[in-house]
Amino acid sequence: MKKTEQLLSRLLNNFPEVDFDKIKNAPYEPMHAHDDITNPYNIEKKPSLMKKHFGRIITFILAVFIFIGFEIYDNKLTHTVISIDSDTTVNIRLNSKGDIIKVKAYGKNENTINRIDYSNLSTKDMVNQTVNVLILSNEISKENPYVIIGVNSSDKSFAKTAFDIYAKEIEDISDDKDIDCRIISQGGNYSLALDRLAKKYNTSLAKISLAKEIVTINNQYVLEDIIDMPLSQIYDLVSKNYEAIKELRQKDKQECIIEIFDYDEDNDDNEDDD
Amino acid sequence: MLLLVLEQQSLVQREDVKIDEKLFLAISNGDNEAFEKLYLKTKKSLYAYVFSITKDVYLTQDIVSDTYIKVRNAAHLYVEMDKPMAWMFTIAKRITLNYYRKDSKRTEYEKGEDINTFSYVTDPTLKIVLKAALEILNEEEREIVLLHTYAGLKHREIALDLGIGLSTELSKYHRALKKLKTYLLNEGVSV
Repeated sequence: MKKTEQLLSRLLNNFPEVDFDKIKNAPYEPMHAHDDITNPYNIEKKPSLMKKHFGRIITFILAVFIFIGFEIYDNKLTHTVISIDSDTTVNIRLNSKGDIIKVKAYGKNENTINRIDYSNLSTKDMVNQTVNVLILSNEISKENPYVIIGVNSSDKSFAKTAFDIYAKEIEDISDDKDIDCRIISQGGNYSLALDRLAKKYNTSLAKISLAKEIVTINNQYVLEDIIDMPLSQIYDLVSKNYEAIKELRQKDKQECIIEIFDYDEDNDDNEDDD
Repeated sequence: MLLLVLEQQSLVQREDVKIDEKLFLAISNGDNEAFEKLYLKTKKSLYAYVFSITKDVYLTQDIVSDTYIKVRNAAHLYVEMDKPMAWMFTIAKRITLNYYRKDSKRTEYEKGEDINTFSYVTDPTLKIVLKAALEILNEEEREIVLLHTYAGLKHREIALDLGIGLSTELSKYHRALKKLKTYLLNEGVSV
C-alpha cells in the first residue's frame, strides 16, 4: 500500500500551486455577519424537496384551483342543459336568462360543433346548426335516423315544455331533407350529480338519464353498455320499456317526461296517450 | 532511500497540520503573517479537498483562492469549535457548488478536466495514477485518500473534518487503496 500512497502524494506535488500573493493582495472586506458560504452551522444543508420543486408545486396547485374554479363557475352558472345525441353527443348549457354559456360536443363531429360561434345565437338556432352539421356529415341520415334530444333544467316547467319545441325543430329540419327521424325526447330536472355523471362518461345528460333508467329496469345491462350502444338499439330499448320508464320517473317524483317520435310498433298507442 | 525520505516527509507533515484557532483572531486583526501561516498549514488539505470535487486543477486554484479570501474576510466571525479545517472545507464546498450553480452551461461536473490536458504530469506512471484517482475512486474516496496521502492529515482528523466516523473513514480509505492497487497492477505499474 505504501507505494500507492507515495505515488498519490507525488502526483499532487506535480500540480501547479495556488498563487498566494494574489490571495494576500486581494482587498480585505470584513463581513458584517456570516453569509450562506461562511455560516459554520447548517453545514451541508440540502435543498428541501419543497424548495427544489417549488415552481412545479405552485403551478400544480394553481392548475388545480383554476380547474376547480372553472368547474364551480360552470356548474353554478348552468341553469339548463340541452342535449342532442346521435353518434356525436352535444351538451348546450344555458344560464338562467336562457343565454348559451357553453357548448361541448364529444365524438365524430366534436371539432366542427365545438367551433360554432354561439355568442349571438339563440338556443333554437344553435340546435338548428348542430342538427344541420349532423345531417350534412351523414350522422343523421335515412339509414341512421335516430336522435335523442333532452332538456334538463332547474326550471321544471321550462323542461316540460322546451324539449318538445326542440324535438319539433329537429323533426322539421330532417323532414326538409327527407329524413324520417326517430326521436327520443325528454325533459327533466337538472342536477349537479347527473351533470357530473354525464361528464364522467363524456356523454349527454339525456343519454345518461336514459341509461340509468334502462339499467334499473333491465338488470342485465350496466351503464357502460347503454352509453356505448348504437342509438337504434337504445331507441328500441326505450320504446319497449317506455311505460316502465314513465312509471319509474313518476315513482321517483322526477317530474320527467319522455316521448318517442315515430315509433312504428306501437306508435298509435303513444299518440292515443298524447 | 528515496522511499524512506518520502515517508519521513509524510510523517513530519502529519505532525504539523494541527491549526491553532487563535490564528483566526490574529487574521481578523490584520496580521498577515498569521494569514500566511494558516495558508501554509492548510494549503495542501484544501487543495486536495477541492481537487477531489472538481477534478480540475485550474478550477481548484480559483476555488482555493476564493476560499482563503472568504476565510480572511470572515475570520473575526469564526467561533472556536475545534474544527477549523471542517469550517474551511465547508466554505470551499459551498463556493464550488455556487460556481456550478452559476455556471449552468457547464455540464461536465462529474467529468472534470480531461485527463489528457494534465500537461504538468509528465511521468507516465503518474498519469496512470491520476487516471485511476479520477476514474476509479468516487468523490469521497478521493477526498479521504488525497487528504491522507498528499495533505498528510491523520485518519482521525479526516473523519472529524468530513463529519464521518473514524471506522467508516478507515474502511473507505483501505477500500479505495485496494481499488487503486488493483487498477495500477492491471496497468502494469509495480506497487
